[in-house]
Amino acid sequence: MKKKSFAETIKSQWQYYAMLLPGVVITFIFCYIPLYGVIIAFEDYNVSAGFSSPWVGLKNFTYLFSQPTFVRTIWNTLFISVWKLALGVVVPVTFAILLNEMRSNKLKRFYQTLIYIPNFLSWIIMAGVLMDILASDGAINMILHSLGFESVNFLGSASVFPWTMIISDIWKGFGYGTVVYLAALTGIDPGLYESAYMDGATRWQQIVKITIPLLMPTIILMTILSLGNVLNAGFDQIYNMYSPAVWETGDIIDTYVYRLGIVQAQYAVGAAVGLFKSLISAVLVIVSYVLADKLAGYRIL
Amino acid sequence: MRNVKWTAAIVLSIVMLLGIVGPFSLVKKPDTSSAGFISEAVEPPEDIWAPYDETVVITTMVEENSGTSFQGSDDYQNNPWYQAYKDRFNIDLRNKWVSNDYGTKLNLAIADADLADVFYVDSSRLTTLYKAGLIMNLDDVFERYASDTLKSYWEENKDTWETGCFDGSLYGIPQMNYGIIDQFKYIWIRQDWMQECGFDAPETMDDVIEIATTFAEKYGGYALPDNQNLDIFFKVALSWGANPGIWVEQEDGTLGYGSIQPQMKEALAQYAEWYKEGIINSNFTTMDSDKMFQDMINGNCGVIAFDHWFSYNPMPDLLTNLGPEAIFYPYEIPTQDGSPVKAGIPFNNGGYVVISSQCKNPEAAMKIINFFCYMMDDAVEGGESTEFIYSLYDNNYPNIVRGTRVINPMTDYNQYIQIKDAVDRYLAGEEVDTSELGKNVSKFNSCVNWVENQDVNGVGDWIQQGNDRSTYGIAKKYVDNEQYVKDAMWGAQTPTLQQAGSTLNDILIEGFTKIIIGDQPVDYFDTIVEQWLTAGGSQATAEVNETYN
Repeated sequence: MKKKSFAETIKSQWQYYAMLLPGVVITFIFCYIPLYGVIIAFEDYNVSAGFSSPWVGLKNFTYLFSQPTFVRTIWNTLFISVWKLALGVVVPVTFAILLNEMRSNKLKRFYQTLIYIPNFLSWIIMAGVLMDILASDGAINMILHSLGFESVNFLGSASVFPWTMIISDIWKGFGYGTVVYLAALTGIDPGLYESAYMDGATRWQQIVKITIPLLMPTIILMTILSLGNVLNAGFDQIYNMYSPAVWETGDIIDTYVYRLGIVQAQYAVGAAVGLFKSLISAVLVIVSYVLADKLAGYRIL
Repeated sequence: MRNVKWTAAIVLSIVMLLGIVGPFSLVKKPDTSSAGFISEAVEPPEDIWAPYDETVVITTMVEENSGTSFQGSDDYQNNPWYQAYKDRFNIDLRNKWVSNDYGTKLNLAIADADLADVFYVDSSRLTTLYKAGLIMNLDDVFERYASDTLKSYWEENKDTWETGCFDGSLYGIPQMNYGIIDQFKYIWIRQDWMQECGFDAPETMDDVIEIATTFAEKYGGYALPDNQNLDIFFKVALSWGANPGIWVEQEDGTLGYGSIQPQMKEALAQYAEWYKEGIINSNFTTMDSDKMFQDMINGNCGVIAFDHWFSYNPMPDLLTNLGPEAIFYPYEIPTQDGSPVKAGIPFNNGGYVVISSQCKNPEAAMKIINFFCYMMDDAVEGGESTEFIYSLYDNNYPNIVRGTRVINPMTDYNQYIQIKDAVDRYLAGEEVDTSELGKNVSKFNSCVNWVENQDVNGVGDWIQQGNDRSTYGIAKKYVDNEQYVKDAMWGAQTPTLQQAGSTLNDILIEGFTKIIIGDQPVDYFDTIVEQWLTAGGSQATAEVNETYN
């Protein structure tokens, strides 16, 4: 087919471009124009001078990295989000396979719905629920006590807190991942299982030799696409549940920026952290798309 | 068919574009009728209370306050205050604008150098305006036109007044506050439990702990609450003579931050011990103020160290839930060595009234301020009618003139004396003539309402002023005996504190929490102080010493 020239394309499809226009305009106004605001990351910003505040170059960045309380947030962020990323693949895949193996369709649907429900509740609500359940006199500690275990300070102990965050996040979100993987599983040709069965393969062998290999492209794709989010360890979740007692291990970049930028009105330093984070994330997004193209054959353009 | 598609596309695009443009075109045009007029200089009369011969127009900028409940057709431009300026002085005060985002709007106005004649600013903007030469030197106009009442505030609060001066000249008139009498802290104890257990008023901190632990054993819950900001700890620490949160003079004469003084370490050691013994709520690190209060409302705890406003929040909710006999009364915080407890009084000034250097009639602005002071302090003596006083004070109407008022820092102190006397006479069965109470009559009425009807909305005023054991009763003694330490940083924060203040406080809160919950030994305090100093604390200390010592 002969490639149409730009003018021809416009002429024959201008209606579509016209409908696209408002979206583009809105994106430009609200996403691109405000970008010039990043210059305050390089200024000694004060409100009365506005954007013409004195230029200080990288001073805000050096100040930031000289703060031990900031440097640790990077490590905390990576620790929490990498674990969330890893478990966020393993747990849904496991559940998807288990559900897929179930004979009763009714039960399958029931469980699928059940594990999907927490995904729809916002963290502000979940935080309230979790803080009650995990309190020292809450349900979980009551159970631990009756089984003869020491009670655990899930939200107040610096060594336990990150795991509480990781596990509660997986618990809340794995229903969604499970549904995605279940959809991928239904795409596997049942003929494969039938012939494997004829050859005498056990259930376990079928899972290891057929299901997992065929699920791999989806797994790789989902993992790679979430790479860009590795610096987002979950502000809503952690902000609603953390406290000074667990800052050492639970303070992530976003909560730090919030305290610095909003609570303390340090706009310049706050903008510097935001810019730093965005740059790293941008690199990660690009890398992840290259990887997605190479490893899973997934490309947008 | 093709036409239909085209039409649909065009219509859709137009609708969507309108969606973007629409909100902008709907933005209300500023009301140009009240802005942009020119005020002429008018010859002022000799007597500072006399009206002008011809109407003087001056302008102001107004901060919206949702607490103000306008009656009838009143608004920020037409209200009893503005009417009174017109009637008494022939001054027409006009609002250049009214905004609920006063700070931002003011920044824009400063950037445009488009200021009203008289308005209020905070300390950092005061400096900005002074440096930009946009505000007037008030020495002469204050000397000539300030009323005796206003001048008496100046005489009695010279240290605060200085914060509005540059090179010895007055540029911003400090607006003050209702007084240091509301800055003190108390131990609050639940009365029905106290009586059942037969306790007397606590005289030492050990007494307090005994009362609290007995309550916990007998009625369940825990002995002492706290929250993740350690709000309660910082009050309990007063018992050790610590001054958390303010700057104090140290033994060597230099100024140091109260939260890192050795007394804090002693207080922490004891507090950590209490936590270990299960006296402090084991979940305090996950609780914010609201949650902590919610627990108290549910009756989980009968002792707390807190500010005077505990009787306003959460007390009414607490009594609604637990019944009026669960009332908490305030007690003095006992000290370790039996010496008088000294509360730290932070610098607390409501802002500064400034007059634009373009203002043609600065004396008119002074008259407006004078009038507020007069209504506040001398209205009853001046023979003003009760209705008139009400019309200015009810429904939080003093908020309307937020930007052009100066408050007598003895207001609450004097009010307490008046109310306590009136309530005592009322309880003794005497007739109380409420017209002599002026603007304070609503306090009196709510005390009576609590006594007669157990109306929980009155309990706050009752415990603050009406009761024999009242917060202001205790605080008056503190004020009279000068049992307080004023913040050595009496004025604006230094640059480092403005920039890193909350990061510095975060270091302390995090470290103290670790000590309290036993993650770190008490000696970790020294490490925290070290961290605090390196993170900007030593820089801040140097600045504070330079500016204020």
